[in-house]
Amino acid sequence: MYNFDTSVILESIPFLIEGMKITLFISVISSICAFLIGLIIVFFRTMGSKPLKFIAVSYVEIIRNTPLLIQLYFIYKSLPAIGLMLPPIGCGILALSVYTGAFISEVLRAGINSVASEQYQASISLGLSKFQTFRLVIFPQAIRIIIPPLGSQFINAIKNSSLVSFISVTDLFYRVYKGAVDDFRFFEFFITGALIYMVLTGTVALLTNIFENQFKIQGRTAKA
Amino acid sequence: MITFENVSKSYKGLNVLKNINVTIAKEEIVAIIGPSGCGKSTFLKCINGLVPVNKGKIFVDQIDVTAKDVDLNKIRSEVGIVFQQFNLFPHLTVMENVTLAPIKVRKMKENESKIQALHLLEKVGLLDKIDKYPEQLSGGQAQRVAIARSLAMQPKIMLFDEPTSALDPQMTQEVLDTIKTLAKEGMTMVVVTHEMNFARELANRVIFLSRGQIIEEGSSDKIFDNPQSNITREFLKSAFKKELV
Amino acid sequence: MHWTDIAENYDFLMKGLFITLKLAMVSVSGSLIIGIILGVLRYSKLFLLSWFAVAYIESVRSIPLILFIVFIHFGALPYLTGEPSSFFVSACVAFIIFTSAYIAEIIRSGLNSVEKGHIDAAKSLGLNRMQRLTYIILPLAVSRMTPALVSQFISLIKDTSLASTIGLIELTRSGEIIYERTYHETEILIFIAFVYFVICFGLSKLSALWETKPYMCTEHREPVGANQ
Repeated sequence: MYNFDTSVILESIPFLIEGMKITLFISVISSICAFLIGLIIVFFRTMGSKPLKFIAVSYVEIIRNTPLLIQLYFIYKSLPAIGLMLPPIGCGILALSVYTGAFISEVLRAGINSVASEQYQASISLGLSKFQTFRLVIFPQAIRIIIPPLGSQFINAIKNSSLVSFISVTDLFYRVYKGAVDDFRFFEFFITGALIYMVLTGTVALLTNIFENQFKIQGRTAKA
Repeated sequence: MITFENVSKSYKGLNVLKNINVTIAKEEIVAIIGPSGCGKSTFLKCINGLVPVNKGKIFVDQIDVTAKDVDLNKIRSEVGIVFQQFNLFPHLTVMENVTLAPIKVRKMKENESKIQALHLLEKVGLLDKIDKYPEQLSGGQAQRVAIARSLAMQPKIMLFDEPTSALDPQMTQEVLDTIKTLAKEGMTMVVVTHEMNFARELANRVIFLSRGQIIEEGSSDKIFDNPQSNITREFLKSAFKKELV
Repeated sequence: MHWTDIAENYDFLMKGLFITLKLAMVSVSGSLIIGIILGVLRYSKLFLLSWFAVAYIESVRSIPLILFIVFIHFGALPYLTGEPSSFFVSACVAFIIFTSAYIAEIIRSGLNSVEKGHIDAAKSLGLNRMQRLTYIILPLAVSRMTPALVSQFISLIKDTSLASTIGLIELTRSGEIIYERTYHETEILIFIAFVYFVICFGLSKLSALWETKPYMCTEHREPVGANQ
């Protein structure tokens, strides 16, 4: 039987917590930026001119159909070549924002499309302006559908942020791996690391649920 | 043919059926009427065991449907049911919808079942639709296919659960005509319906259900011309008013 | 720009691509089998088994893939077998464990998407449990699951790039090996990205064709108009 040594973990807790803070920092900042990118892309796709639409669609397709690791390496290795020097953590945040943004734009688009066009026609017919229609009719209905997938995009960002350790950012995964290799204690460190990630993602899932209930429409069963 | 003995059913604390006792004889055509949510559909679905009851016994052709060790699949193959929402299998063509159960359950030969299906589809007037998918049919056509699908099992009893309430007037007529043809052939039928004129014309007997109880039952003339209970009178008055409009 | 790097190392890169594809194929097959079993278990509501499936699916889905890859390669497999694990085997095991949890969820929601009315109709015709599953529930569920399954496979193909981090010389790692020598990262990375893009984008377009089948709509349909 494997001799599970809890003392190495207890000793390393501060070291891991420090990494967790970096992981959280990167995921939160990236998710916020990704949301803004997603909004802009959706705006381009729904209201933009033809070239803007083309740019938006190309962006989404290229980002969604290539590995994050390649995008990360590209930003880390190739941006300095054109004179853009970012610290590793900046590269990590940039890559993660760009990547998650493409997925969030799809989430937002699906949410807006889910509100039937009859609703749009009805509110225009009542004399509401385009903006009022969006704010008072489309948005309140779409938000209910958007929240759960947005939550899972945030969870994905937390998990994906582990890749920044390959461009020398000392995030949670980096420290789990380093601890495991240094002490040759793989089971202890990986189980602890997994648990910390589970707590982080679990918390987000919980918050998503609470938030979703806030926007429930009375008498309607939630069905995305 | 069908006997309910002290049948009760509650669902989420709501008494859907309360102590129902009723017997339906062979070749009888019974219409179940009553306000929405009075337990009509539940009554029907208890007969083929789609809805399990809490208390009492239901006998279909002398077999206790509520018994623990009963082979429900066998009973169901003898009892056809037509649903409000048709429930045709969307991934199968009209022909496949009608032949699936005869081949798989009755172990009929494929050719035989196809010939039978052609007869049935001719009867409901849809011979030209055999290769279509349910999505390509109108509501009335879909419901007639659903009737043919049930008949293909050569059932002893046919149940209809508001077969026309999802249809517009013209399609309703198509479906009602099909059901009338069946009635003339001596099929035992239980029909839950909102169509009062249809119930009156078709049924030998009418059962009026309200809040899970049988308020009144009798020949259709008796129920429609001379209802005994106030609840029945009120219901019929508003129902006929609606139909006139 | 140094695009000749690609031409000079073309065979080496294609060898890497071959490993990437082989890794993806093996992992897809493995995770499909385990994913279907887990998904059906979770759908089945057989107390202990479905509880196990839920625990597996939910915990795997909340842990980063890279943690599995590194742990399995350096920790679990060497411990279990008593010798260092091969890069390819480690990567396959990690991808199968990871992806099967996602596939299980797709399977379950596909099975759940089959309307009660259709199941009732099948019951009413006397079809037994096995017949209902074979002729009604599975065909409907499978056709509805296909787009989600394809996009899961696309994710898997992209994820295989992570196998480079434990040293498996697949597409990404072969690119790295080249630019570690030549220092022309940009060209190689663009080329590799392009190869992944062609495969993944192609697959997603193929699955979009599938999505247009008429009966795949899970929503309840109101009857169409009288005039047909």
